[in-house]
Amino acid sequence: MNDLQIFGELKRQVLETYKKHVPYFTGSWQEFGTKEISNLQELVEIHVKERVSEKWIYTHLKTENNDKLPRKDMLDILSQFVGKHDWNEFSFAFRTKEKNTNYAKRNTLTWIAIAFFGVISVGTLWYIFYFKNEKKPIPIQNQFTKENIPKEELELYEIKPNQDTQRIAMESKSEFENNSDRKILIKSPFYKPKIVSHAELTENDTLQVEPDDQAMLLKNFLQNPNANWKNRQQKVHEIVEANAEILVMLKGNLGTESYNKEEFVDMITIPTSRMKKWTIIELKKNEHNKITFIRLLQP
Amino acid sequence: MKKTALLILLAFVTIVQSQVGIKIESQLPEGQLVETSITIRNQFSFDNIIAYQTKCEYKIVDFYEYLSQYSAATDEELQLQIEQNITQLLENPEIFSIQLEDKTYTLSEVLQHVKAKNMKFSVKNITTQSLQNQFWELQYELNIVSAEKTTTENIIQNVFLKPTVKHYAMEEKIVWELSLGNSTKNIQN
Repeated sequence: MNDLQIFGELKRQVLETYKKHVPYFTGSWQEFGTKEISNLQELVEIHVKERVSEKWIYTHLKTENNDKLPRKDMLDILSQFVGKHDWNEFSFAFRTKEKNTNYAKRNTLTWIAIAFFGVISVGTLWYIFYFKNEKKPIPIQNQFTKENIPKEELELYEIKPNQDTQRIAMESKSEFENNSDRKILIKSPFYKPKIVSHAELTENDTLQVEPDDQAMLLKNFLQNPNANWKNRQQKVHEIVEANAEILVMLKGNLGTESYNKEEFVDMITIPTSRMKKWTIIELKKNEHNKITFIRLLQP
Repeated sequence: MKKTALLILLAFVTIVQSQVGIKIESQLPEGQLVETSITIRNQFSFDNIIAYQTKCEYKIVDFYEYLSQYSAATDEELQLQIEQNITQLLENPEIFSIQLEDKTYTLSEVLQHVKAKNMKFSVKNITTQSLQNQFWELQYELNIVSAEKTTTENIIQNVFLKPTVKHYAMEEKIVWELSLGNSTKNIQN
């Protein structure tokens, strides 16, 4: 900030001060005519008790580009006209204000930069944290076919020491990797239950469960009723206990349908369209490995 | 132990139901309907009645799907099995009658008829016409496709809801069962 720039500011403030006294003048120094010069001279005389020549006003105020700084005594007069004690005060006040403005600007820029880098840093940390702790799905496969088992067919339970077993979501592998006390119980109507230790969970990429042959057979019969109907009838007859109870849960608050073994065998043997949509959600067996209870869901 | 518990339960049910006019005899044959004077309205809540109405529709659809399967079955043993499945849906197979194309058939007659004509059935627009003491009267459109023609008939069908003895090996339970009654052609439409 040099003195000419500060003088430019003084000119601006002189014009503003003039406009306060003569509000109907709204122009710039270039529109400042004889009448305005006369008014300004009069105003300076009244407020500062000093005289500014018409020539000086033409030379230093009306001109757009000032090449050199006017005399100090004239600068003092105009500084007093705009409310300061002298040019030094005006100059000092202006420099200080500019410094503060620049500081504020720099400060704002600094804060913007800090905020920007803050957001970037937090984002980066979150990204790293998220992916590090990403809830990796637990791939559970059929032990024999090595095919991934659909989520709908599995239920996972967390076994905590001295606590109740709680059902957990499938995407929880990472939650167990840092806690060696925990175990997972895998349950499914189509697979034998399995308890997985922390070591097994962390060391293996996949978990494998052994299919329950009878349950798989029933599932297959429901989904693929085109197999030989006599064979289907005979097999179901063999694997279901005589006193078995079969409940079909109907969606939409329609309750359940209860069937005995004979009815169920007949239905599995010759299923209608709605029966083909049934899915097994629970299956109980006795010590002789025969099915004693089947809970089906009709969508 | 289980037998004792069942006897106690049956005794309790008999005492309670005798107070409301129902007569239940244990050791009834499989599928035997229990004599009852209880009405559907006073036995079930509104929500239960609506749920059973929907289940009535399942029974009707299952029945005609079995009839279509019977029509297509070439194996006699398979036909017998399907007939058994159909029988399980009926309130009383011995007096069951069904009206098709202006004729009334018994169960065995209708099976012969659909087989001879190679009929296929489909049901739509099932609506409840009325709720009687022990059955609903439902109406539906029955589409019949045979080798000769395709027709659509409006049918009125009774579907019963009654407590029935059901055997689970040595155990028996009384369960409320839906079963199909007679169906007639709706001559009003």
